[in-house]
Amino acid sequence: MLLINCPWCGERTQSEFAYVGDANVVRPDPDTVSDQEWINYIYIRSNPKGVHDELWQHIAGCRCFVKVRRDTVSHEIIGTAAPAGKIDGREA
Amino acid sequence: MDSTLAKKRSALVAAYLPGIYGAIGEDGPGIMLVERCDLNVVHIAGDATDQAFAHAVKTETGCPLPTEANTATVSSECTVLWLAPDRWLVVSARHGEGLLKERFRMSLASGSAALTDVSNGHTVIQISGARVRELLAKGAPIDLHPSVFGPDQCAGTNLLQISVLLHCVETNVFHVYVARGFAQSLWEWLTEGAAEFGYRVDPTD
Repeated sequence: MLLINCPWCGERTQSEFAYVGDANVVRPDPDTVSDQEWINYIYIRSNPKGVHDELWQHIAGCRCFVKVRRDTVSHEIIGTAAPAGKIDGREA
Repeated sequence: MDSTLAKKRSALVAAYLPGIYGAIGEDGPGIMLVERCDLNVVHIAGDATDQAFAHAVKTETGCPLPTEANTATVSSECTVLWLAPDRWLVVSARHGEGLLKERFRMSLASGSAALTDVSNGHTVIQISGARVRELLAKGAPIDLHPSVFGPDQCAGTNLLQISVLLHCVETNVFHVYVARGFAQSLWEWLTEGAAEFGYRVDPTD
C-alpha cells in the first residue's frame, strides 16, 4: 500500500485514490491536430522503468487531482504536488 | 418549525431498531448510535478568497469560513465543514426544507457561489461513546488518534470502502455523513462492529 501525500489533506492511503495516468500528456489543439497526433494523445503511453510523473485523484477525500512522482521499480514516492505544481527531487 | 413539511424518511428505516445490544460491560454500552434525521445539509461552492462570499457565509451561519483543509467551524446554529478547496458543507438544525439554502441564495445573489440542498441525499449517523475510535478504526484508513483527529476536524475518507465524511464533534462524538443509498450497508457493518463493545441505538427524531 502506498502512502500518498495529498497537497490538501496530507498523507492518505492509496485506497482513497484513483489512478488517472501519465501527468505529462498534453491535449493537442483539436483544430490543427493530425489523426496520428490525436491517436498518440488518446492511446499511446510510454511505460517507463524508473521515475514517472503520474496523476492520481483523491476520490474518497477532497476529489482533487494530485501529481505524484513515483519510481515504478521501487514504488518509492519522490514527491507530490497540485497538478500545475512543481515537484522537487529526482527527475525522470 | 413548519408543520406542513413532510418529515424526512429515515434512510435506515428497514434496519433501525432502538435498544441495547451486544456485550455490555460494567460501564454500560461502549458505543451509542443515533441517526440524525434532524439535520439540514447544504453544499456550497465559492471562492475562498472572495471577501464578500466569506462574509455572507459568516453572516448566515455565524461560522467563519474554514479555509484550512479538514477543519470545521461551529456556531450555536450551524457547522461548516471543509470538503475540498472552495467546497463546504453547511449543517444546521432542520429549520424546514431548503430554508437555509434560500437565505443563502439571497445573501449571495450578487456574487458567484453555488448552493445545493443535499439533506435528502445524505444521512448522518452519530456515533459516540468511549470505544468510538476503536469502532471507526476497523474500517477507516486514517489516523484516528485524538492527538491527530480531534474536535472540529473532519475528513473525507472511506469506511468499509464507502465514501464518507467523518466529523469529530467532540473527543468521543463523531458524525458520519454517508450517501443515503449506502447508509443501510454501513449501518449493518457499524452495529456488527460495535457488538463486542456493547451498543445502544437511540430513537431518532
